[in-house]
Amino acid sequence: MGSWVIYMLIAWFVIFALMGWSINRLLKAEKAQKAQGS
Amino acid sequence: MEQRDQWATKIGLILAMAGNAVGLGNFVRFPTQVAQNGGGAFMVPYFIALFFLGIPVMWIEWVAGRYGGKYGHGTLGPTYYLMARESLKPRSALWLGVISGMLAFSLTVLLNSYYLHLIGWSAAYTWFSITGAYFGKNTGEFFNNYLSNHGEVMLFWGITVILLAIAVGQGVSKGIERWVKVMMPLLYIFAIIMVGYVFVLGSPVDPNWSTIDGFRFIWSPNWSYLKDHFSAVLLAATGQIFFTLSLGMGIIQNYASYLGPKDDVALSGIATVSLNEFAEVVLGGSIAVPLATAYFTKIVNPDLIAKAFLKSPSFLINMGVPQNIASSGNQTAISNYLSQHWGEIMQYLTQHKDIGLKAIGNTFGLGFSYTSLPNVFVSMGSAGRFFGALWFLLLWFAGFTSAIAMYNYLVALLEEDLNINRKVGTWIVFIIYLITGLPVIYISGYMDQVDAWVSFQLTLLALFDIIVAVYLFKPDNFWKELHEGAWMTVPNWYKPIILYIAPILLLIPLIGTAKDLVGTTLEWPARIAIIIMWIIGAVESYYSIKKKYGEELEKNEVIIKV
Repeated sequence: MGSWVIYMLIAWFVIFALMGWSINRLLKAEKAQKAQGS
Repeated sequence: MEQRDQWATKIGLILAMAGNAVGLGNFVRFPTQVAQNGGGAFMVPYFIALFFLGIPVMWIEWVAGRYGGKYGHGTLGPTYYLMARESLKPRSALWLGVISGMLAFSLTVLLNSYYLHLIGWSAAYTWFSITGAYFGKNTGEFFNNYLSNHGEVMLFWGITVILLAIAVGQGVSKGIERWVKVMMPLLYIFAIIMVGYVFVLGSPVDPNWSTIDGFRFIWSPNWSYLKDHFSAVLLAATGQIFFTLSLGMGIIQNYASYLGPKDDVALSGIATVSLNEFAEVVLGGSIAVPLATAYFTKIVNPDLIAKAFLKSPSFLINMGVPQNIASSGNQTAISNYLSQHWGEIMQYLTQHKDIGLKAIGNTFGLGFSYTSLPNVFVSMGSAGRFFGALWFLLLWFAGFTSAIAMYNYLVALLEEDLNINRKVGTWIVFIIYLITGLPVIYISGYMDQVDAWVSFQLTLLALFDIIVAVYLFKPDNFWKELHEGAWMTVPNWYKPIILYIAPILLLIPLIGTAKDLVGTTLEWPARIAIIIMWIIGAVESYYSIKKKYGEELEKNEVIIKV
């Protein structure tokens, strides 16, 4: 295995992390907003 | 001010935006661009463009959309007129609005002139999978035969455009959300299964060609290729980022215009980008290119290699073709030579897989995925008919949902800007699509020429995004708007990126490729189509701004202010 595997895994990890973080935060914020509204 | 509909939930909006962004750009256009632009050589500027351009321009378009929505606008012309008005007098701002509106309108029409064909190809391949039409055949030759059967191409494209018009006629939320909620998760699941399958497939035909070689091609930075083709690869990468994120078309602004004035845009922008990038880099990047590598010997033949490098004889010379034949421009002579020395040529290509993949990318253009993917379904035997049909049907839906968003933008343009009834507008756009889509069937090379121009114009419109929605709107206003109701704080170091780095990164490929693109790549039919769309777009934008802001344009003073 060459260094390309590492590059691929890093890119995948960054994308996963960004997706997980943003969606999670979005859902939490929306929930909090709804709770505040009700 | 007119009361507009708003999105019921933020996650619904994100899914709709992602549904719009996730489409054939990820699974068809991205692998083509990777193959055509040196694999790892493409990925370096791709990630640079994502970080320095994709994310900032996404924020800019969300901010612009929400701002336009406050004034009851969902289209680019009037929105950018309003933003430019912050620094310029209304009569000067008018021209910025007209140019931006013109670029967005023409881009959406030009893009759809061929994008709907890609969706049609997916419909056709769904049918071909069911009937097993490509089973046991060279998939490259099969694809070429399909394209030369104009009646068949027109049938599947025509069905797609009619269904699209019917779907759009139903309205924004019904038309988009219903489709997205069902098909998006299905596509993701199937794509994840496909990626797993691709990883374990190995070398199904020839031990020298494996799927892992495809991954190596994508993920090994190819600095020498990047150095030799810097402007072209940079433009391809920036164009792909804007294409895939649906930026530079006015669509994101249109969606964001239905937000409330205090709804978050910063975090939502990031969420949209990351969902799309997962579909593109992780899924789209792990299917077509590795499969094209593994099934290379079942896709290529001497004719294909001759056609691919007809205008680039240096590649042929490197393969061992004598200079007089390689530079002759005679496809038959080159093909004959390659046939006679096919064993040696294949040996060369085995050692230079990047050149082999470039050949497939050059020859089939956006058909790249349609030549590589069918092979994997063939290898599954009769089950492959079912899985092939399902895959291409899902691709069809992915493209279809994206096309709905673009169609909606054009209908909104006619409805909001020119007071044309939605139903009438739907059929006007339908006719525009039919007229602009015909040259794709009958003029060889037209599709890839328009696609190359689309990359250029997407980059140009992104530059306008920054000029108008940041500089003329005033950077402090932009930054304030970006954080209005935001669920995240955008780091301050992103400010200089948006203000200085992004415009430079946009200018480099624009300047570096303009001459070649306009002078060499584009032929007259494509040039004429672009000019006509520019004119229509400019006239439409001019009237839409004049209609609502006629009085303040006459007095050259700002009157309407929310």
